[in-house]
Amino acid sequence: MAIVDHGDWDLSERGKSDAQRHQKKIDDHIRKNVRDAIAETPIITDRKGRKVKIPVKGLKDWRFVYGKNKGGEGGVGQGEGKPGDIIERIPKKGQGDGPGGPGPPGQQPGVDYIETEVDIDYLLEIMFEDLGLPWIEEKTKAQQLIPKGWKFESISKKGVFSRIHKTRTMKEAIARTAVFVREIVEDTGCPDEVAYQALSQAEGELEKAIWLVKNNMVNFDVPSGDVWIEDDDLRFKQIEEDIEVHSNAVLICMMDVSASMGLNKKYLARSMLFWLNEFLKKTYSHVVVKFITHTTTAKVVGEEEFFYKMESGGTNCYTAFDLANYMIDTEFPLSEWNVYCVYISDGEDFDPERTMKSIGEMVKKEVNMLAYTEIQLDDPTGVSGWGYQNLLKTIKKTFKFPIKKKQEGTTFYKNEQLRFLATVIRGKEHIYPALKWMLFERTGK
Amino acid sequence: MTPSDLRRLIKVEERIGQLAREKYGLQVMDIEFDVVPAQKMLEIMAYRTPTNISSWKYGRDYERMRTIHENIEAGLPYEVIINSTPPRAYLMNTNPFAVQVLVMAHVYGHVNMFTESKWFQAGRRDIMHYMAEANKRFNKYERRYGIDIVEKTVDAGHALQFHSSPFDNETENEKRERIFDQTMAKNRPIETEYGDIVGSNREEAEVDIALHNQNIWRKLNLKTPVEPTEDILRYIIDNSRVLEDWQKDVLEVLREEGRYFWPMIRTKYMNEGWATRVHEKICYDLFIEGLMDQKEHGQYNYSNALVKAMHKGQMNPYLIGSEIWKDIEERYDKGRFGMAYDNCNDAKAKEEWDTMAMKGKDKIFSVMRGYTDWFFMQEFLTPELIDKINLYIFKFEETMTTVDVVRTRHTAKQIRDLIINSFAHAIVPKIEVVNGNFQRKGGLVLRHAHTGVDLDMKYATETLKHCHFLWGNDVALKTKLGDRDIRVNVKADGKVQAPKPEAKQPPPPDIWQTLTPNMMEW
Repeated sequence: MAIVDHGDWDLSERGKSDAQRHQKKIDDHIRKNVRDAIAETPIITDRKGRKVKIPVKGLKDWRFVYGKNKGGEGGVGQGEGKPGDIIERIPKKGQGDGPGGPGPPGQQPGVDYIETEVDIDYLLEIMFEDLGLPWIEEKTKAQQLIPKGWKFESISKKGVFSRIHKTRTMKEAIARTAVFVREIVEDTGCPDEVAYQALSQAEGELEKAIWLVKNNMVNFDVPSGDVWIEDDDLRFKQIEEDIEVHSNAVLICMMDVSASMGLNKKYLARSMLFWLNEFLKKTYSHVVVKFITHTTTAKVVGEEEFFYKMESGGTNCYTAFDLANYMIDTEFPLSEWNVYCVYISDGEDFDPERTMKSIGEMVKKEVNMLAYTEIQLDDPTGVSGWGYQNLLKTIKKTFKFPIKKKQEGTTFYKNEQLRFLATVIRGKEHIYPALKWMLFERTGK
Repeated sequence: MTPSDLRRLIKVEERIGQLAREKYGLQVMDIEFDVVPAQKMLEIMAYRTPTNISSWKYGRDYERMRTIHENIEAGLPYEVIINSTPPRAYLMNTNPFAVQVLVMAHVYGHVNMFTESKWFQAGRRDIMHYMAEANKRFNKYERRYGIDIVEKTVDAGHALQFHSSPFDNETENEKRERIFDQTMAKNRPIETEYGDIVGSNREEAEVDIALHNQNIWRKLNLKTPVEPTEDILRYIIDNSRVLEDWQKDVLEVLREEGRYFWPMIRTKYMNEGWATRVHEKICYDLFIEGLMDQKEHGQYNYSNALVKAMHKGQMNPYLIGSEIWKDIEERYDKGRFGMAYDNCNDAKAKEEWDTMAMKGKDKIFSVMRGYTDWFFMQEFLTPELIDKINLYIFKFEETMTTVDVVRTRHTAKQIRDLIINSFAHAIVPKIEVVNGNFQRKGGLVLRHAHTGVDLDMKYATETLKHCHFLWGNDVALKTKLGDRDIRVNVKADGKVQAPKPEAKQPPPPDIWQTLTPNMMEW
């Protein structure tokens, strides 16, 4: 019978360290399932907090447990009511169906997986490790000087003691000691060991050491081996501003927002460009991103509008390319800028001939990259089926793609000479491979 | 907690002890209470025992509890009690005084049950030290063998630990001897009716039987396990060919921990119900005696209501347990039991039935001492009670945009059956090791004793993978999906074979049938 108050119980926080271990397991899981994470993420609604929710499966305590009953009973509850009452309504997760078709609703909502909140930046880090913009060039004009902070580069004899360079100072001292020993030997003709011992005994003073040797007062019982540092040996690190030279880069995102792009297609397009935009913003602090939407006419829009606004109308793809061409000519001349153009549509175009001409113009300018992404998806929310689905076919005919890769249920095309990429997206699961197709391994820096 | 609060707490605790022992006749060991900071309390709750080993699972639970603690209103009485000698309990120092008292009285209820219930008499009493020492060793293993493999072993041990009962201490050899002795006792020469006239060939028969017994012994030696055993971990530790010594140590510790929790898992509803009844009674007395004041009454009521809250989607053991105890006591006080009451068809007479039997107290104590949840529910969760406390079954109905949780039309009796079948006793399904050398290739065969509720296949498969990691060879689980016999296989290379229907084979000849010779009757 005793009560002991442990107000100052040691707060070793075991829980925290084990929680970190759990977090690490979650990270590994996310790393393995980034594709699903991208596909499932309700990015467009959750932008403000810069956090995304990711369902993490597989971190459960596996045991032999009972499943659901034959009658489909979910469990036992308690409370007033009568048969047939709806106790709770749980909205279904993710309106579009994920890979593998529509899964059954979780029998026990919230139990089947843990939802974990992840910072967008962190997710990007995992997703696009070592990826960067392809074909980036050093443009001669108008490079940007990006201050990166401070760095230690040169060494000097004078400086603040807090920035002393220990290794260099010791090296200097050792070298000087060696010179002194040589000098004693030359002066007196004694063996090296004696000279060294004398120097130690004299606490580093040359004159005294020579005097000791000459008077035969070298005592080998005195411990030796110390290095004596003199003011002259001191070396200091010097601080300097660190500057990095970067090439200018601009990304022009073009998207078809016409009536044929139904809700689901727009979701895919936006999702893809969202990740591309976030990635560039994180990786390159100085990339300019421009957004163009088009129906029968094209216009430059802001980021917010691009990602959140809905529109409808006809489809004239060339307008977007014309506008981009105009922007390149006026704002981002290729002599100064690396220009990247990404265009997403569902492949419907009223005037493919003219679009080809515009694309041709753009390719002729030798932009750093042009990526065309076509979304092929049965979308009941879009007005479709007028037989205009011909853009990819025409592009393939006009610009030849020597490299063709079939992977994960979709196809990737590449023309290295024209720096022209094309992809087909058929579902959420293709967003990640398509992005990886566009971004290459970062070369150099 | 201020010193004056602490002094008052000590005084009240003394009174609680007196009330429990003298007024209510509860046998209670002396309890040690530790008042700890909130963060420590959450940690203890996440780790189940304060000195438990490190695992990502506990880290996860700690985070979860911290989130809950930070996001909901204060005043939820957290309790952790360790069934050791002496029993230890923890109080959170940020709790209001009334909540501390509630928790202390509640703990007295638990300790009473630990002291008196026969199910708690076999476990080990030094679990705190045991786990603390184990944790030190495990840390060493992590440094020596790497955290991943240790974690994998711990996870596998966790997956199987609750299948070991503290009452099963027989070794494989002892079992073999016992079975052999039982069989030997059966195989006696039988004296026929006219034996004395026709002359008995008793000596011949005895030689025959001796030979036969040798035969049985040989076969018993080949049989592994000798008889189906529920203690999966014990069997794996003793017979696996891939486990290293340190892994065996890890599994041994986790098995011990499982055995420590075994009675608690199986008496959850009784235990929480009992403790809730005790704290309600004792706190009532304390308020009457003036040891607690009126202001504290409000806080007490609020916290008590949180403890006994009805949940839409799950059963609250505190509430349901205490309702059942209350019901038993009332019924036995009024003599509403036995043939006469059961056979009475007059609803009005039943309603007013009161023989002033006053057997309630005796009954609840005898039930508390000897029952587990399953028996408890089986016998005392009557359909009348289910209607009274508004239990229902819900199911999920899918619509276009939502999943609805809908109350079903089950009658009270059906609800009762479902609860007994699946929810009350069903925390640990009965799974036995039936063969440790399948087809002489060293495969492990587990069998699930199907009680009408299927296993969760996803969980079963993942758990089998854990078994496979420990066993290092083929692992199979025999169970049922609905009426269909199925078998889940994890092959030696770790590949899972989708559950497939068990091939209809003639039942294998029972070893006893084949061994019972015809010549037994002379």
